[in-house]
Amino acid sequence: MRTLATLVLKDVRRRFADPAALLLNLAIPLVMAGMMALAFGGRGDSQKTPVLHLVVVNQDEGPIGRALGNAQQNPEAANRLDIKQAKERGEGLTLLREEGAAALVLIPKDFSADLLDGKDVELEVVKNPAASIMPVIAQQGVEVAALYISIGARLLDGRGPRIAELFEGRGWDDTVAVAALVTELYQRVQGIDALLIPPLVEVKTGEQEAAKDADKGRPNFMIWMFPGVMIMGLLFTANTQMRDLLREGEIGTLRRQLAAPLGAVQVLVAKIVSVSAVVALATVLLLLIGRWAFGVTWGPILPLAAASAVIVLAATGFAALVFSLVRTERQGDAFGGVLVMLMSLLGGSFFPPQVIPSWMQGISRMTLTYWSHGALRDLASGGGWDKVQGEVAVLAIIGLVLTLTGLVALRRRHLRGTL
Amino acid sequence: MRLLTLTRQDLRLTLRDRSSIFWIFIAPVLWVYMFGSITRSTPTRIGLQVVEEESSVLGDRLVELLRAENFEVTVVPPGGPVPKEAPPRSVTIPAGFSDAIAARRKVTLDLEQGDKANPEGTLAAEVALHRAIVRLLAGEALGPMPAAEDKVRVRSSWAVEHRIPTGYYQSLPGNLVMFVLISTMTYGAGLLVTERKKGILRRLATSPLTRGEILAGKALGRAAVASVQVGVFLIIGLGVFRIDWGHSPLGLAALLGLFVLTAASMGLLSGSWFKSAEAASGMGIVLVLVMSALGGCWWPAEVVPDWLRLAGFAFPTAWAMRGLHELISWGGGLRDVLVPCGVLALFGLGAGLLATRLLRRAI
Repeated sequence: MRTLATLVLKDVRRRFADPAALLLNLAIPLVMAGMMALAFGGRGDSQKTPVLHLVVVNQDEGPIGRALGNAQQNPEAANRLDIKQAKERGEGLTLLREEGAAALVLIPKDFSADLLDGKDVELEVVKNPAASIMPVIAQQGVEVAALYISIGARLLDGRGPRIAELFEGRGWDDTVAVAALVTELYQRVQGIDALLIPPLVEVKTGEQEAAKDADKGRPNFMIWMFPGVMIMGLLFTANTQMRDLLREGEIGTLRRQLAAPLGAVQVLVAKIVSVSAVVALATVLLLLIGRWAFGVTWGPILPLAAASAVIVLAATGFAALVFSLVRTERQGDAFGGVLVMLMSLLGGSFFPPQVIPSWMQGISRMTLTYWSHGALRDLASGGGWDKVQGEVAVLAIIGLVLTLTGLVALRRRHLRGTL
Repeated sequence: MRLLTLTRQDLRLTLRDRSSIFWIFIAPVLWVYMFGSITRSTPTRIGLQVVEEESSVLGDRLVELLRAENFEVTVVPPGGPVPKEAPPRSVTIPAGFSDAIAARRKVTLDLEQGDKANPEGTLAAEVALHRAIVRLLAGEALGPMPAAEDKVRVRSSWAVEHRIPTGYYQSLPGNLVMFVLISTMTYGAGLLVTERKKGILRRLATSPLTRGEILAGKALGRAAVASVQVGVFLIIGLGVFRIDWGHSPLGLAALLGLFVLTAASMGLLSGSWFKSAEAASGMGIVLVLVMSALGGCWWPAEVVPDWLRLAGFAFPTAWAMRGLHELISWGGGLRDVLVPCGVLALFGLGAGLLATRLLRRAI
């Protein structure tokens, strides 16, 4: 046991003498998570709304067209809306294409006058075909605005032409009639004010429990994103570290160790344990970065330690088996890399497993990535032992089977002199 | 002719590597399929379950208004069982809903989304729910307000009847750009570092090839690999995913041709810069991931903050994606992709010149 500990310690020390490969392996998941955080919010919980870029062609000279065209001046909309004005449709379409705006909104000539006259009017929304989400939001926004204007028109109840006259500066002489009109409109607005400004019924959108940050109750997409890319990074780390075994095989240092009072199993177990030590360190580092940089809370410590331990075992066993099957480092890199990427893709490392096509979900369950990030995602969602014990058991079995199979295959090769 | 021999040799070496078969031929299909199928656009009618805690006139009217908003509504009556296979979104109309409105008290409707609900659909549901509520409340003060009697209508259309970048129309162009860069900046670069380190480049210099021919041959070798990959994407796009690549084969050829040359130059630069093959491929993958994310290959650039979208244009990925959207979504021609092509050419030229300068020392 003491010999084994000495072997492992020296090997780990040697590995850390050149940490470049380890750092590169850890950089991949961190870059992926970092990009997601930059795009969708610093720590995955800020629910950033992208700015809606619109081009408006306002051909109406009345008050409603002006209000719609200058909606950006509303303090609530100022940070979410960016409006560029164009004089006519052609110019608007050019701006839409060149500026990459979400949509072009056309307010037709005499829009206000026709509306006040009680006529039906139309707003036109031309969506940018080179975008998929924001144009639909723009359309929905205009539809909501149209509904409010329709309600406003209903509120006037035939008084529109009189108001239009007032806007044009006519009819102010009859002050009694003006006062009566204002009073009548005031009463109508009062009737709707308590109901609609703001709407009396509000909608609160809630996530399912699993998608909430356990600490803050806020949705945090990093809960599924970070464990997925973290497991991918750990598997790459295990592969890179295990590759060292073949390098030692090529330069003959492994065979030379057999001249010492050491058995093949002892040498190989020491190598595997030292790989697992590096993977364990990488796990701790990634867990800490996940916590502090991306706001992922990992739940109670004991289940987390158990899940981490079996993940390390499974990742190490996977790498041991891969490198027991290949002849050269290059083959190991290629074969191992392909397997890791396939398992990450099919196991749901890049998106929530629920959205994977249903026919693929069975295949997904056969990958160790599925169980690994499943355990971490459950813990990050506030789960404890009861949630992760199944995943921990499956990973322990996978880890033991892979490690023992890898060890037996490596031992055979070592004794045959091919390692 | 000698140049072509060098190019062919590079292409042969890359394709001989079995893992390159995976990265060039298999991975693109898998990635495009997976990412394309999970980001497909929301169906026209959004499924919504309405749980009524208490039967009321206003509750029933809200359900009718929701139906008119193009929801596929499933109503769970008071005390009724909630179906196991419920739609991904559910809204609860609380007990005392009508009374609260009559007394002008605030009421909150809980819109719950299940784990299969996509954000796009939820946003559409929120907006439609808001419209139905506004119609209901306005109706309380002004009498029923059916949509057919609205004074203001909205006519909406796409600027051109073409393909919007969602589903495969986002995942295929995005993965094309990313995988071509992966192959040139990891495999291509790694191979070049190995040749440099082992002195193969210096040995080539003793052949009747000029220094310029060696460098051009190496660049074309990477371009050949990238071209094979682009060809694979175009073919699977047409044959497997039925992608309409637009109306301008000339524009597409110019854009992708220049992107291939840019990717090759970047592979050459990476291969001449790094000291080991491991560092070249390791840093290569990290750089490609950053460029792909910022360039709009992973998600539509429209959904990220403005500053990040603008930052993306510091990389060739954003220009390549912009050009592809011009051709595929706007149905543009060669003239419409001149700017992206020009910028890609500048990127390629810059990387190529820098790589040549560095590599001249190694030959």
